[in-house]
Amino acid sequence: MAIVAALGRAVHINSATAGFTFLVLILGVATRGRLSEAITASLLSVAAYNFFFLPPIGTFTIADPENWIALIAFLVTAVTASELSARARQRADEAHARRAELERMYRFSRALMLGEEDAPFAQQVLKQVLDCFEVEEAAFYDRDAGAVATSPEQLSGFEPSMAKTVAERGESWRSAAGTALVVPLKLGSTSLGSLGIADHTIPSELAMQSIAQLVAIAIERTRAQEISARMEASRESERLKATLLDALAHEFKTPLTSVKAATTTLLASPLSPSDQRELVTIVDEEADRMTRLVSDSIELARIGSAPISLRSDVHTMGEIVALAADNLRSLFDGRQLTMDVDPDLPAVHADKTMTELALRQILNNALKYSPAGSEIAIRARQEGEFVLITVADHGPGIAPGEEKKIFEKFYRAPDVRKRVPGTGLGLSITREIIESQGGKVLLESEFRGGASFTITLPIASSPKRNGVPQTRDQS
Amino acid sequence: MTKAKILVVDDEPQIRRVLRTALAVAGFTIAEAQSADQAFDKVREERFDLILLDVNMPGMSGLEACAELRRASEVAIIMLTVRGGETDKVAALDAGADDYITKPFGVPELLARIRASLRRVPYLTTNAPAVIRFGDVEINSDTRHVTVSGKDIRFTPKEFDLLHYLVTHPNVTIPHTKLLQTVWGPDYGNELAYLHVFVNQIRKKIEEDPGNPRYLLTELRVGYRFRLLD
Repeated sequence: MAIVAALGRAVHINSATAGFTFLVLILGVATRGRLSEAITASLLSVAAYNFFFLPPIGTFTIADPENWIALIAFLVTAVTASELSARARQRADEAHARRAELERMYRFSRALMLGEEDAPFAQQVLKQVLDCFEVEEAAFYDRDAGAVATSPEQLSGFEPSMAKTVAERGESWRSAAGTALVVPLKLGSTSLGSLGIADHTIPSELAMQSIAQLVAIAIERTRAQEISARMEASRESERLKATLLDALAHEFKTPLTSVKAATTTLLASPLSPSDQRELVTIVDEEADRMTRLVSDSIELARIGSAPISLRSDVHTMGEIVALAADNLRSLFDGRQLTMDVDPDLPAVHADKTMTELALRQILNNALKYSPAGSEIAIRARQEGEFVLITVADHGPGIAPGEEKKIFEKFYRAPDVRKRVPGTGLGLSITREIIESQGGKVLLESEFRGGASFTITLPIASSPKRNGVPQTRDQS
Repeated sequence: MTKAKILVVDDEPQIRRVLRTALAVAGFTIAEAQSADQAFDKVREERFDLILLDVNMPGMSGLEACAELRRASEVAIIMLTVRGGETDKVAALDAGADDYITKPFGVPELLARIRASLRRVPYLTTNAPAVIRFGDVEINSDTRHVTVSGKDIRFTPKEFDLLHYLVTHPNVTIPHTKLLQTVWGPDYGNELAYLHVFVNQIRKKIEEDPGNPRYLLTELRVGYRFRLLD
């Protein structure tokens, strides 16, 4: 003001020009500052205008009533301009807040939808609410779960039981001090639970309701996912049952057929002692085979549904190979079994029963799929820190594209599914057994030229372990 | 009576082993094959009266093998399988098998089925002439040959027996049970699927329009009737 007055005096501008200059000044102050500043500016301007430019100059006396009009104009301008600018600023602030809220809700919904699979849903919701609203305390009540989850564990803003009350009533609750807010989680007319927050400043109820809506949708979504996961699991177990039953029916009926045919012949006709002996031998062998089938089936079902429990010890691979071959002896049917086991092979640290079961699956496959009278070769050798056992047959091999699938649980190649009985579990279990012992199952196959499976097992590193059974559980 | 020769085709060594003894005791001569391919070789080498054929075999399946054998031979075929469903039975009969037995089976039942399949209907008890003609079809019961429009048509033994019985008992409805017991044997009577399959096969061979037969007519839920108009 003083500068304007001084300048005005110095350059001898007339009173009208000075008046306009003051007006511009007031406008400037009003748009930038608060209303009180604008009024102060206008009062100062009136005083300065009066003192320096209105006759009698140098006094605060107003001689001409017209000058009152100037004073009023200054005041009105100040009030109007500052009012207008305040309103515009408020609108800008509101828009900014809304944008921030939208961004928060977007982040919130994104975080909920993408949720970490393994964190409990309630914890995810609480974490997101705390992060998004930057509040101190939050509570989440899921009516189905029945418990109120809070973060931190002890709330100071409101009682956790309020969450239940709000969910039952379906109406929001705000603390008397306005520092806590609990809103119901509603989907349509059903109340799924409630969501509460507490802090010195809390977001609007509208914002909370929007968030509540998102949480309600997320609850529904999680629930639908759980249902579909349960259904998938039950379908899987149905499939397991059906496949196992079908395969068992097949596998058991084969020895049963031999037994039934032998016993009915023994009962029906008078037989020579040698015929009797032959038939009784068959019954005996087939009874052994059924015993193996029973224990294998139990083992397969157990491995298929629970982690493998290993009882490892030091063994030579030669004894395990010989045991597996012996157990399948009656199925060789003229097939040549050549065994090439390096006599200097180091011992392996393995579970004998499980490893034999694994090796037997591969050998049994070779017998099942290769033509009668063909050759099956077993070779055991050392390569670095591993012992390798290879079983090669002259069967049809594995069709291109099937190499990975045949290791999947229950998978059976389409060309053998109807023809050769099997559970589709053998190879998947073989791999599980071998890999849990630090080994690998490798496949080399030439389609129509035979399949060759190799099992690798780490050699026993410390001979001190000898004779000391080690138990470890692997999942 | 010469011993009937049976070929056992099964990939299971123990089943072949037990059948070898059981069938030998029952008075049959036995040969074995481990696969369909081996069976074809054996059939080329010598003549068999009957083949016991396993359905589930690696390589060529029993059903494919049966159809293949049927193309070249009228030998009686009984299929062995672990599945006993109606569709499986029809599939076996469709492939050309004469009969079907579900594992596990008792040997007496197997022997009964083997005898039924080997059995031929005694034609001499009928007073029918040796050669019967209707339309383009000519049936010679002495040579067991059927010609249609002068062309030789291959009939399996059971197909021929069924056709012959129907033709020699024309224009009356013959119940299912009666047909089954006459053609397959006294142990049969409920195997309607057998009849459906065999009647369809015969219609394909002698009828101009098998879907709309002129001669071999179905009497719904009762049996079949062979229409001969003289």
